[in-house]
Formats: sequence, C-alpha cells, structure tokens
Amino acid sequence: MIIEMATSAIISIGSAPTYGASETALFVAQEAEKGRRRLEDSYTFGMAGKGVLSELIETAIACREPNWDGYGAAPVTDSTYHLAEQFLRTLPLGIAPPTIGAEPDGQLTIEWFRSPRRTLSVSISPEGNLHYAALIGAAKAFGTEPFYGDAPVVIVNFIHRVLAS
Amino acid sequence: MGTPQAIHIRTDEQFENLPRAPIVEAVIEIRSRATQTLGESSFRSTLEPRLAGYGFLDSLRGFYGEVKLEGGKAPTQKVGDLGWRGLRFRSMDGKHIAQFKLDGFVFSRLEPYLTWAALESESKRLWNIYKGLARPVEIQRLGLRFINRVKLPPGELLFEDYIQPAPSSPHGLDLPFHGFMHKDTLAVPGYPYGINVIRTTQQLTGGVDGGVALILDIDVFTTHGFELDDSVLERRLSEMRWLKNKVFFGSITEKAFEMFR
Repeated sequence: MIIEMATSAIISIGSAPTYGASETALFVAQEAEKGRRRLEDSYTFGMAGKGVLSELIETAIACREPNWDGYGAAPVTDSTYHLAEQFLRTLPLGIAPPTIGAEPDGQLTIEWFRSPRRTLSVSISPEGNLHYAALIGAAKAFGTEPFYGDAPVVIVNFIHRVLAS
Repeated sequence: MGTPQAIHIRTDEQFENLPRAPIVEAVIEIRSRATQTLGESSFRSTLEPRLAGYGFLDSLRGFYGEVKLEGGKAPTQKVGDLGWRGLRFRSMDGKHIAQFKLDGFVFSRLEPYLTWAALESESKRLWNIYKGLARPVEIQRLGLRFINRVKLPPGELLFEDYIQPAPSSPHGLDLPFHGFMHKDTLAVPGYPYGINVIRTTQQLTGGVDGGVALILDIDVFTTHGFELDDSVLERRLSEMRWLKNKVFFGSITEKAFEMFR
C-alpha cells in the first residue's frame, strides 16, 4: 500500500538531490554516494557488481569513433556514455541486469529481454532523453522521458513488468 | 506502519521563528532545460550586466572518470570531459550563489539564513533573468532544500538530545556511536511531492578533539513537471516550505529548540 502511494506521488526514482553549493552540501553528497556505491558494487544489488558498467564502457569505447559499424554510424559521445552510466546507477538496487548496445545514430541502448514478447529497450540520446519501447504480451508502449538524474518511474515500472514471472 | 493518510498542507500555519536556526544553506532549484543555444562566453557577457551585486565565480564543466578492473589484466582508466554546463555567480558579500545552467537554475543562500521572503524574492528575481535568456518551456523538477548543521558541545555524542528519532544501536548490543548516515525518502499522499531527509554526522576539523556536528538535510522536491506559470511556482514553493518546516520541527528535540531560540 505504501509503495503504491509513493509511486503515485513520485514519478522518478533515484538519488539526484537538489543541488547545493556549500561545503556541507558536498559532504552530504559524498557520504550518501559512498553508502550507495558499496551496495552497487555487490553482485546481488548493483549494476557494477554484475558487470553491466564494464559492458557499458566496452560498448562506448568500441563505438566512440565515427563509422564504427562500417556503415557510417555516428559515434557514441562521452556525454551519452555518462548519461547511460548515471541512468544505470539510479535504478533501484537489485534490478536484473540489462544488455548494452549502441545504435547507428550514436545512442546507447539498454535492453531487458525476457522473451520475444516481453522486452524493454531504453535508448539514451546525447541530449539527455530516454526513448523507451516496451513489448509486454499483446501490449506495446513507447515514449520519451527527459533524464535529470532520476530514473523515471514509468520506465522502472516497465522493467518490473517485463521481468515479472 | 499503517495505511498512509492524505495530509492537508496548510500554508498559513505559523512556525516559530528561531533566531539561531542552524541553517547552513537554503536552496531553491528549478530544473528546466534551456531551449536557447547558450555558449559559455556569450552567456556570461549577457548575464553579467544583469547581475548587479554579483561577480562571476566559475564555469561549470562536467567530468567523469572510470577505472575498469578485470582479473588478470592491468586496470584501464577512462576520463571524459562532458563539456560546459553552466556558470556560477556569487554575491559580493559571499552569501548568495546563483547557478545558471543548461539544465536549470539554482539559488543558494549560505549562513546566516535571513528570511523566507528574502530567499524567495531574490531567487525569483534571478530566475526571471535566467528564464528570459534560456527560454525554458517547462519546469521538470523543483527542489527546496534546507541543510541544517548543529555543532555538538565537545565530547557530547548524545544524539537523542538533539534529533528525533535518534539512531539506536542493535537490540542487546548497546554500543556507542562513532557516526551514522540515515536517509529517508517520503511520499506526500495527495500531493506531487517527495521529501529526502538525511541525518548524518560530520567530524569537524580544528579544535582539540575536532568535535562532531549533526546534519539534518531536508530536500523537498517534485518531479511532476509543470508549465512556466509564476502562480503555480509560487504555490508549489509555499507548499514545499510548509513540508520542510514540518519535517524540521518534527525532527528536533526541545533541548535543540532552546539552542536555536
């Protein structure tokens, strides 16, 4: 019950706080980050522990030059890579690992695949938009959410629905 | 924990004015993407004449670093420059910091905190300047954050004297605290707000034993976007302020109140 209320009231999930400028704000940010990073580095809870962040780096490096696919593909920029890493880090702890890919237009793609009829693909553009497309049985959904450092709840909900048994 | 009840925000509620309130920073952040193309030097030269009483502080750039560790291989490091992100200006007395960024505007009032009216009025003035230049079309996230820091008397680590609920050691193992970090994220039923509350300790430098400070960081936010409408912005800030006050006054003890009066 509480989770439902929280979901309706908050439409994004994550740790991006209101920015501060003081030394105390910096201290709080560092301490909060330390605690979360410890969990992220674990296999059970984190994308880093599961090797997803390494896969992301490998993909970004492999696709950082123009024409990386031999067909004139646009490069994956550092900015896109960083946004993808931030997005992965803001997902709820313990979420199943996705696979990482790149697209010819330079976007990075994060995909959760359970079966051909249960998939979610999230493409991250250099401008900071998350384009998603979900297929859940007969239902299809797609859209775009701006990324400001918090994982949009609509996308998190699709991840849960795709992976639900 | 029972079923959460919808609450009623009463923005006319009066809260006690605390002359020695422990606020070290009050922040209003409006996250909103610029639609105008903004270049570092041209944005600065356009902003500076509009910011009487402020001086340029620095330019914000994004960087990131990654170290990849793989068994049997030498670690590889990757550092990236994410480019220019915005500009920071500081008031001549050093008490106000304004950030004009590609993805929004942030206004900070550093200690000593004065009044809500002063915070709101100055942030609104600067936001209007930003709005006129960056031409955002929608507010994606609005944040109101108050960071409080209470320096504890030397040698005193009785957190329960100052904040409630205070951290407690595991049942049956009554050990003294060296520090703690506690974060809650609360929803506000019936309203589009969330609240992050962080309670933590900070080892202070200087002095004989350095000392310890308690930090109570209250960040009220909404990620329900809304169009640029001053009356909506004003109402939301007013409601968020009420929530911030309720969290603050509900988190400190009578002994702490006495310190702040």
